[in-house]
Amino acid sequence: MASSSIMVIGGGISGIEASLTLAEQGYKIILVEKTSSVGGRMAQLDKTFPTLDCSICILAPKMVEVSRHPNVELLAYSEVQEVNGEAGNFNVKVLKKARYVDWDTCTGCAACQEKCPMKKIPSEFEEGMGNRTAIYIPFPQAVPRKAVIDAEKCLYLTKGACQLCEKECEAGAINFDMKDEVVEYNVASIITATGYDQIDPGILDRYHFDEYPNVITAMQYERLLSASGPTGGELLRPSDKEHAHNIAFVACVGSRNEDICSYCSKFCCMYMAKEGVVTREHAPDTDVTIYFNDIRVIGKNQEEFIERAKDEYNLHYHHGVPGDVRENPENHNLYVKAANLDTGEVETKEFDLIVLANAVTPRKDAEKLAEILGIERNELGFFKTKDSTEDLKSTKNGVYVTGSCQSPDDIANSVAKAGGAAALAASHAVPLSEEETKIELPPLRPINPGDEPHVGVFICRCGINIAGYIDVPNLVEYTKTLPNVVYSMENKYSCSQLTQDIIKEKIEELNLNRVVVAACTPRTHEPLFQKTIREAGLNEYLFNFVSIRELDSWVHMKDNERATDKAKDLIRMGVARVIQQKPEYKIKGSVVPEALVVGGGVAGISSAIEIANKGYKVHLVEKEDKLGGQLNQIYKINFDRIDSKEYLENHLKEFNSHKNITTYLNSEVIDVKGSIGDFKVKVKSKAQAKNTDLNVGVIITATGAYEFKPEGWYHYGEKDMSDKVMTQLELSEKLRNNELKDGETLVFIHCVGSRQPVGGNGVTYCSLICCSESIRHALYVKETYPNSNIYVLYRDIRVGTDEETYYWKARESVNYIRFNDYPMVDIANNKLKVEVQDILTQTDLEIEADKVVLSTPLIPHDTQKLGEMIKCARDQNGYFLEAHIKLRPVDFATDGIYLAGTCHSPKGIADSISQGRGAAAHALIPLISGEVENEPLVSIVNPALCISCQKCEEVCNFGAIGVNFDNELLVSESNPLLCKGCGDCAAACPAGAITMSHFADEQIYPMIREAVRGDFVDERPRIVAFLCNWCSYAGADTCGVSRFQYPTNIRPIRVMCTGRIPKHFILQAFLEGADGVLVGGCHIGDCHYLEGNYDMQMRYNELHEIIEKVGINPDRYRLEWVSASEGKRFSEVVTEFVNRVKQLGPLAKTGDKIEPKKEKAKGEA
Amino acid sequence: MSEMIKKNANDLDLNFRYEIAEKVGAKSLLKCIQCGVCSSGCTVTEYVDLQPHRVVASCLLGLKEEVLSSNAIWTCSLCHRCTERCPKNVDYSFILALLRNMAAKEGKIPKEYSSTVEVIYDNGFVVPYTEGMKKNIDRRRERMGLPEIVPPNLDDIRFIINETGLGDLVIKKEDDK
Repeated sequence: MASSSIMVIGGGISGIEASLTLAEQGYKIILVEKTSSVGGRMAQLDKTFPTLDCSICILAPKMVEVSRHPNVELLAYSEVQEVNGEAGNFNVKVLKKARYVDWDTCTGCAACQEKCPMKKIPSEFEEGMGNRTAIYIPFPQAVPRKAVIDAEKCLYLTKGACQLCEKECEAGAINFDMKDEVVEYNVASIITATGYDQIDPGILDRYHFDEYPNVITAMQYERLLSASGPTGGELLRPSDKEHAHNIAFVACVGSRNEDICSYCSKFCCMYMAKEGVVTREHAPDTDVTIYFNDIRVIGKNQEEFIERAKDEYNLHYHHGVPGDVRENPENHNLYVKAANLDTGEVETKEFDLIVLANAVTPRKDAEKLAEILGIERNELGFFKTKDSTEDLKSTKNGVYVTGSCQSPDDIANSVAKAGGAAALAASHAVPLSEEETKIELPPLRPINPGDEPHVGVFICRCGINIAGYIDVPNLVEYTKTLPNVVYSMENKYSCSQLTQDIIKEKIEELNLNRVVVAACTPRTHEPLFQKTIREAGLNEYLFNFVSIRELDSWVHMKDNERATDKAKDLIRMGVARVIQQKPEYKIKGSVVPEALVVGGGVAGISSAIEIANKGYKVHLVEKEDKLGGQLNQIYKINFDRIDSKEYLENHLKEFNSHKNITTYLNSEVIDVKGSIGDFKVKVKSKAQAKNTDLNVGVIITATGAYEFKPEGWYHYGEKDMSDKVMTQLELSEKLRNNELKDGETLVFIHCVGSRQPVGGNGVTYCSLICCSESIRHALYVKETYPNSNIYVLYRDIRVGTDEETYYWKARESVNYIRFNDYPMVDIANNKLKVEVQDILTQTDLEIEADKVVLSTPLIPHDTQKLGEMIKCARDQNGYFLEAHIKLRPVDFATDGIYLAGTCHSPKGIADSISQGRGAAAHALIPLISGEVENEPLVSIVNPALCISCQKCEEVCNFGAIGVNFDNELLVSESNPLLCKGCGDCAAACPAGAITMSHFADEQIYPMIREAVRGDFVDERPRIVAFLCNWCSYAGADTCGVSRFQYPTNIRPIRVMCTGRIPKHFILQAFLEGADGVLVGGCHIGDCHYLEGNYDMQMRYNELHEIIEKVGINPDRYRLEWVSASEGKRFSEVVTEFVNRVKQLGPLAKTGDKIEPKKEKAKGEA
Repeated sequence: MSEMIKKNANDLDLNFRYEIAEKVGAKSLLKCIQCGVCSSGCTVTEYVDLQPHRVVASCLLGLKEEVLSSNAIWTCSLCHRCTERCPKNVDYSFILALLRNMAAKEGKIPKEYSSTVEVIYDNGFVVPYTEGMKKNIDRRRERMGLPEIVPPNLDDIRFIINETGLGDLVIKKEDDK
């Protein structure tokens, strides 16, 4: 019997993603992470390109999810030591390094950090820009949030004296006697996702990185930009902590260098542009100059981002790599001397900060790990794969590689590859059986609508973290006086096993039917208590979490009395809410165990094989008469020149003989109905003029792209020109047929129709694969027809990491001419005459050519028709639009539909295959489980109230709600399997017909009421704050963890999305007596539900006017965007708002006296 | 921006790059990828008509005439920063020496350069150690504790200059005048 266990090494985004995909498929995952927290590089980043999402905001939920998944065993602070055995049966020894802290008892309160006297240890997480202590939690959002002791720095462990942390830790978690431990695991396969290191820029002495304080690395700059970083997001340069106003970024620091890293590090050009743009957003008066050689983009929408960076954000792109950096020792400003290759001149400029994009390298211990795993490394030092079409299979069966340990990759690609690696790793294992995953739970206690609520309240002291600032015994006594509260007690640590047992006991003993825990934050601890009450027979949704640590004791450390009063209010709000809560049940639907793949290119084929291998029936629909897509037109694949015919034959052999795959050639999908688990699909065959009806559970689109035929460019397509002016693919065909003559002059022109301005002749994006294709062909022509003379006219050369050396080789024998202005092609005497300005030599060149070969963009095949059928969106370029550009590259926003290959964006063969497998891995999740499950946070329509206005359909980004015109009764219907629970529709519904389960009006209203109704409060103003779960509430948590203080006046109410907040919530708050209302959501573009915050913004604007009309000063009502990392900003926003409302004074029953502005204006007129 | 050169590709010397590269030690010319680091670090930036990267690009494209008649190939201070920093190990300083030889063979030697050779030919020194200056120089050297100057064998020097062909290129031409 094959094992169900799979090991994932490395807890960065790629490792997390692979783990979650497999865990969701039902495999047992052992995730080994070297440091004490998962998150990897992505956790360190401030923003992600090209959408400028807050990196930690989108990553943190994944980190929490992986740590909490029942199928994942997370081994942080551990390393793989030894691997024996073979695919299907590996024995792995894992070293669990001594942490000197018992993680079962450590609560992550960080009190130890405060007391540790070793304050000046450079923090690895902060890249040395900040310090940590000897006992430490690496960063505020760390998962698991547990402390470790650095044995080399700890005073007690090195010198035998101190132990302050031990005295401070009320949980008694410190254990100086802890030893390293070796644990053995048996796993079926291994995924390596160990990431990358970067070179020490000190080895390039011209940049004086070790010498000049204001020369820093890009990763250090990320930390400077980060709101939770060492400067709180202020751009303070190291030498004098003054704001930097003139910043230079330097590309290729050690990359594309024969002696250091002979390859391109791939993502630096993009992060420099991102950092430049973020800088200009932070501080618009800052000048940003980027020194580059070739600007390289590596993915979707990135070319457009670079263009915006230049045009909208005015980043100065300087074409030429600096050769010299000098410092003015008096003010530590820096002089950069660099050739400008556009003009041929050399320029010197002064800056106050220089950021180096230092080369990406394999991990320092990559060699050791390769040896342990028995896998090979390529000549660059990264983990090796079979050939250039394969990114995931290592040289050893059963060991797979993903992310940057195989080749430097950005987040989106790392995520897509992780899915692919997961699909492959799963082929050696069997999912856990139902018995293995089944958790025995007692039957649910019956809850009837008329039952008297019996509320138990458990208040956490959290050692001194809460009890040190809030009078907890007083709180307990007060809580007992609240209606329906039958029990209240304090616990030293509510999250301890002891408290869990007490809670269960009390439910039993006192017949509690509602439970409230007042402690740290629901974002990390709610599931623990939900599990506990479920184990005692109470439905999980009869629980409410009140945050009195992050939202109270930690942010009001100097005003214990008011902090205690606030805690009373918060608990009263929580109790009022819990009384209204009802049992909710997960929504389930069954899944037809068959899949539809649309498109039979490499991506579609890869998807189909992975799904079929797992035993599910796959229907593959291809509109052409043969499989293989674009591959049929390519002569040789990549630089290893794999014969495409042979390659296809080999792959199709496996494919065609697969008993689970049915192929429909010459066919098209003409209709799709239904949703995840149950799609009804009509397939039309062109040849047989008949339709086939399919019923499938999931759909993968892999419809591909084709080479643009540049009619109108350079005489292409004109009469008798086909032998003279051609595209690269057409040249490829001529090479296959050996049709070229030796001794001819060929001119290759790049970017014909791509990288054009908006509204220009062609497309705006870069197709990423054409430079390699051109280089490949140039080399091939030179070899086969050695007397040919080739001129390559290019803009930037963009090649993959392992392709750089081929470019170098091509340059040796080919004339590379770089243009800024597009060349001209004329016909004279039946000869082609090309005119071009070569900027490198500053020459106006006239070339008589025998052939002109054009590199043209990839264009997606018709995505519109299919897109409408499956209700999935397309981007501005006609490519399918994935659910999230970084973290969900192979999913659509609509569940049950996935995408892969070049219908997503232009990409090479290896990436298409990885994506195909990744899409398969995601599609396999519902297929394997046989059912889809959704959280009960869904919208419910009351058909009696619905007026079929379709407002709900308008705001829903997931196709989950809308009027079904096939029905007799034209009312809105919500599909609970697709609903994501944002509640936007409930807020948008003008008829009040939509209820958002668990965040219903009747559950929020009591909170609003109690928020402003404290009996003992001596203090105005009272401010009600609605905070979105993912960003602003998370930002408030970060604020708490970082101990940024703010006034006590604010009473937060958590909602899943600001889109949930209807106007009447705000008005109700004022009606109940609030002096101010604050709404906090995600920054525009960051919304967890895509566009909920847009809708809130609209409602805010509308309400703004209403509020003034009813006599409330609109300054009392504010909408702010605060991200999860902006803890400091949260405190500033609150402080500033409270001060403003204080100025306005309490809101009188009769409203504010508003100066009649308009009348005055009239009078003047 | 400097003035654009106008050129028909038929007038390019496509063999120029190989003419240089096939010489011992100059193969690295072909490796250039035009990043500009050589020019960026160059110590004589202000004095050259073509920056180093452009000299290399011009060699590669076959702009032989333009390269050999530029002052850039003679103005190099031989600090070797370009060579040291080149990510592709293009030995620019060495290539310049070859280009100078090529230019010289075509008679393209700047006056400053040939007159220096003449001084050496005539005196055996770069700085003339003539009777008039001898007294002063000797006195200063003595004060600094330096040994007396032993004049070189002028015949040897002239022999070297003539045998290496430098004499033909520089001195004789002057004589012809």
